[in-house]
Amino acid sequence: MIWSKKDILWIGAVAALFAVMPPLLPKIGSSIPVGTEIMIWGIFAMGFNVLLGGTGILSFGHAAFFGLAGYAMGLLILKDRLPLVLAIPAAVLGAFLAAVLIGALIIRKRGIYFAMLTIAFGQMFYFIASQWNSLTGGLDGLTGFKRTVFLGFDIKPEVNFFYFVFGFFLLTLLFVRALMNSSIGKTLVAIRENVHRAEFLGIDVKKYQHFAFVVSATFSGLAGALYVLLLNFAFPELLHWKTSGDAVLMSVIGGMRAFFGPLVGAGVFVFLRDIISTYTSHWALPLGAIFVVFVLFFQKGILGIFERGNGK
Amino acid sequence: MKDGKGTQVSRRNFLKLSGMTAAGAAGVLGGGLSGILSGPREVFAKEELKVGILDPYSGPYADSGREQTNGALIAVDESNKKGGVLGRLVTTVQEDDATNPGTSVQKGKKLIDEVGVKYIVGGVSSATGLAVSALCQEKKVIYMSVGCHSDDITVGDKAHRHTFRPTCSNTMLARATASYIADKFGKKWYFITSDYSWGHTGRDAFKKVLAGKGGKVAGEDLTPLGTTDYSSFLLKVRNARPDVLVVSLYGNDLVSCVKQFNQFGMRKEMQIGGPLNGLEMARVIGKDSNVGYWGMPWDITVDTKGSKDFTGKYKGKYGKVPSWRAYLGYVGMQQLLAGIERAKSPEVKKVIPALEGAAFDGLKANKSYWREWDHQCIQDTYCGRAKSGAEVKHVDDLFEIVAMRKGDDVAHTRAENPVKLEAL
Amino acid sequence: MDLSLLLSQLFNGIAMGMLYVLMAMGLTIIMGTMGVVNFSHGVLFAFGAYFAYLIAGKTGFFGALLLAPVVVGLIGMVLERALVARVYGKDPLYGLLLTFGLAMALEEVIRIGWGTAGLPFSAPEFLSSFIDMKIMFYPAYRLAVLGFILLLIAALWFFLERTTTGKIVRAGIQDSVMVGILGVNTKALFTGVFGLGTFLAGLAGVLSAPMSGIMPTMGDNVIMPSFIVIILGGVGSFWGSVTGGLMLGIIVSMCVQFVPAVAELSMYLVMALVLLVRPRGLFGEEGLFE
Repeated sequence: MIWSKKDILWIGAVAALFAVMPPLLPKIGSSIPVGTEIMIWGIFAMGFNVLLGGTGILSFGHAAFFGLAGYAMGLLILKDRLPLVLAIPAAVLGAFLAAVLIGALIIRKRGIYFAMLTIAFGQMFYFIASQWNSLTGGLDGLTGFKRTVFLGFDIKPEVNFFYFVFGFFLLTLLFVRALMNSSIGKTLVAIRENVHRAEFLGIDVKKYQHFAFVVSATFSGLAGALYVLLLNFAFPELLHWKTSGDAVLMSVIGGMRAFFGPLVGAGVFVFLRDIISTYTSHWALPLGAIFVVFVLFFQKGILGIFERGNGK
Repeated sequence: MKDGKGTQVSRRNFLKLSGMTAAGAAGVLGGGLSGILSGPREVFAKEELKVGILDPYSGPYADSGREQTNGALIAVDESNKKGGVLGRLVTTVQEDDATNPGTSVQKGKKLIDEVGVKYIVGGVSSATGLAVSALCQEKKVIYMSVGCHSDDITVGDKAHRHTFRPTCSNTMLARATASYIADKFGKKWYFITSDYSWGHTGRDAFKKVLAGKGGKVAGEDLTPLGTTDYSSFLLKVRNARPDVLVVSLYGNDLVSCVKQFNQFGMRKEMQIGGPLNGLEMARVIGKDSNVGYWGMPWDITVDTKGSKDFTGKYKGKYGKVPSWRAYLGYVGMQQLLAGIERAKSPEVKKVIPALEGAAFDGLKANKSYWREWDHQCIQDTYCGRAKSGAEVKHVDDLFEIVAMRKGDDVAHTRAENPVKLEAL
Repeated sequence: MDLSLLLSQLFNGIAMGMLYVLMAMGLTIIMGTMGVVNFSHGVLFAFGAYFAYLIAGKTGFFGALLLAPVVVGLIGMVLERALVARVYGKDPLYGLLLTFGLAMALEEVIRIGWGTAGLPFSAPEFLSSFIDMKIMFYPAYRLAVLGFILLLIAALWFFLERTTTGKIVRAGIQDSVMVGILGVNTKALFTGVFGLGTFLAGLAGVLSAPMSGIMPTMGDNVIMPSFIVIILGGVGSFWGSVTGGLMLGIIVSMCVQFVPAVAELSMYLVMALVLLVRPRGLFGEEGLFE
């Protein structure tokens, strides 16, 4: 089995926790869309972390795929052009193809150069979206569409949409776990630990890195498409390198090496952004400070605190 | 070494256990603590009427956002002094939209889904205004798009039944300002435009007036919101030698452009103007560089008792003179509360008809009213001249009104605006 | 096409480029010596402007010009000792992440300290006019900034080429390990280099304040162009920063003149092309980060 008994147990536990959130959240004064958002950022961060924590490659441009799929989603369901059941795969496919192309181009570069290239591409997407007014609405963003029905299931109400996203969330957890358990996943980790040794062992490093790039980008795309459905709105910031930075933040704070790390990071991020921002608009200060502390002292993130000596 | 036996494995598992619990906890944490820290909602709900305020407190339009909220809070104070609305005290929940439509939708959802408001007041950037307008239509929440001037908030298919616009539209501002400029300074104009809906509709409204007077466009450029350096653009403008430079810019962008307009010595060569300018920006531009002819929804020099009273109240509470942003915040909030009072019910379905068509004292020479087929507030619209240097008698003496047009004369006519607002 | 307009735009591009050069210089010596990608360079640029605002109230523009960058340089050195030094020797990505978080936190500190709105700041009186040479015409202040930065570049060159300390810095950029082995106090060197780099960023901030105004986000607008410049010119290269900065300034102003829609896009396009085709840039050393 590609999942161990423990995997099933833990994924099941987390899934059960999220499954009971909708009735609980309003009772404690929060709201269902907050839970939906945590899952969506969770998908983004966990997918992204296949590249960062799993393969050891830093990208500051994954928002390009997040936003590309987001805009694609908006454009595809605008004026009811496509039903959701086709629009979602189409949007995700768009992110997938873009990643295949861009990845092929840039994967041969390493380290800082690679990170800078991802920024460059992300920003190019951002400026195209900001200025192609007739297609994307420019800086105003894309409105005029909304989520309606998926295969007969009405996902307009927030609670229905929560469970809709939950399905994708569960799939993401299962897929990423399975991937990292598989031989492909182990190869990625080997590449992360020592690129040269992997090369000497005859592994086609570039091919695997490209694969990780594409997989992580595809999940970023899925998250982006769902996010746009949550807001019924697409806008240029979805493509900005700062949004990419959010995924990095979540993975690092939650723990790059731990499976649920990015999800924990997503929760912390949404908490800080939404709750603290009610009291002070200066939430970026604690967030930035926490990030600095984690980069310096807790490179394994929150979950890493619970796992000592288990680095490799 | 890694996969040890017996006790080592179980210790690791225990640690992992705690780790996974943290993961699950994070989910609840994010959602749950949000509610707990926001405070209990149900306890005094019956006694309070909650109104959401969504304005920019960061980003290029932050100054204006603060002013708008300040004005709105004066209206809240006034209402509460009289015992509130329908016997309930009014409380507000303020959120920062960061001059960014994505953030405005996120915060709007938070106000609606989490806090549970049925009314949102605010908005400076029309990009945020349009986005929040769409959100409020979907969620059936009333939106007072206080300070968003782009035409499309009340024109065409982006206008919505749940949205009202307390301020003037770009077309109203252009018609009040552009005709004055064209007659006085010449009909060859260059346009520098902020690249989003408000900038575009502002420029288009000015262009329309220009065309109507037989003028011509000497050139035009679009600049992204947040541009700080206009030097390359101003060089182009100078070369084109227009009579007037029309800048559809606002906030920090307007400040930078006007300052650089002065630095490049263009003041001697041509006139400058645009759909909007105000105290917050003029103060930063500085009295030596303050120049041009601008559309203004209101000004402290408007000579009515209502305006003087409002200015006095604002000064009393905040220690400075109000800009027209504060005026708009005040009117927007005040009229929302008046509408609820008139409807004798907080129900959105009842408040909207109570607003449509209603006339009220907008502190101007002529009465203002909510036009029922597009929800535009029809009101007196002004053109202000920026004062500079020696003629500035005191620190707030930065504008002088040179023209006023009545709302009905300058707003879109039925023929010009094919809008069809949705049914309730 | 009007010749005088073209010349003005070219000249304006060079002037804009000069500020980029200043930023890039600071970035490149930090990156070259310690291998740290200093994302907080933009917010330190902003700090320069904000401190100038504070100081100018007491001492006028020139006092601010002198003191504000020094304050920023000192802050830089404190940050280096306390935080940045901890990531030396590690994967350069840690430095990037660290300074990224720092930038986020520090920008918020600006908002807390000085508010979220913009602050007014003017050039000294005698420079507030403009100069009209028939062939071209330009604001006096920008001309002065151009001249000042040229002098500064010359001074930096002299420092790096002709003084012992400067040579040690250059050696450190080439090979910081070797320099340590040869007996130089690398701790002090690194702190000094970081201080110098951030000093330059603060200086750029002061100079740019009268032109573009002072606002909390002013760092965001310059950080990416600064990176693009050092990538163009080559990390760790003095003349690379100069050439790169000039080129970028000219590219942007020419785009604004001829194809305004792609002005911002063009910067990133150039960045991507350079990274793909010749990552070390024009004058950089091979293998520095590959």
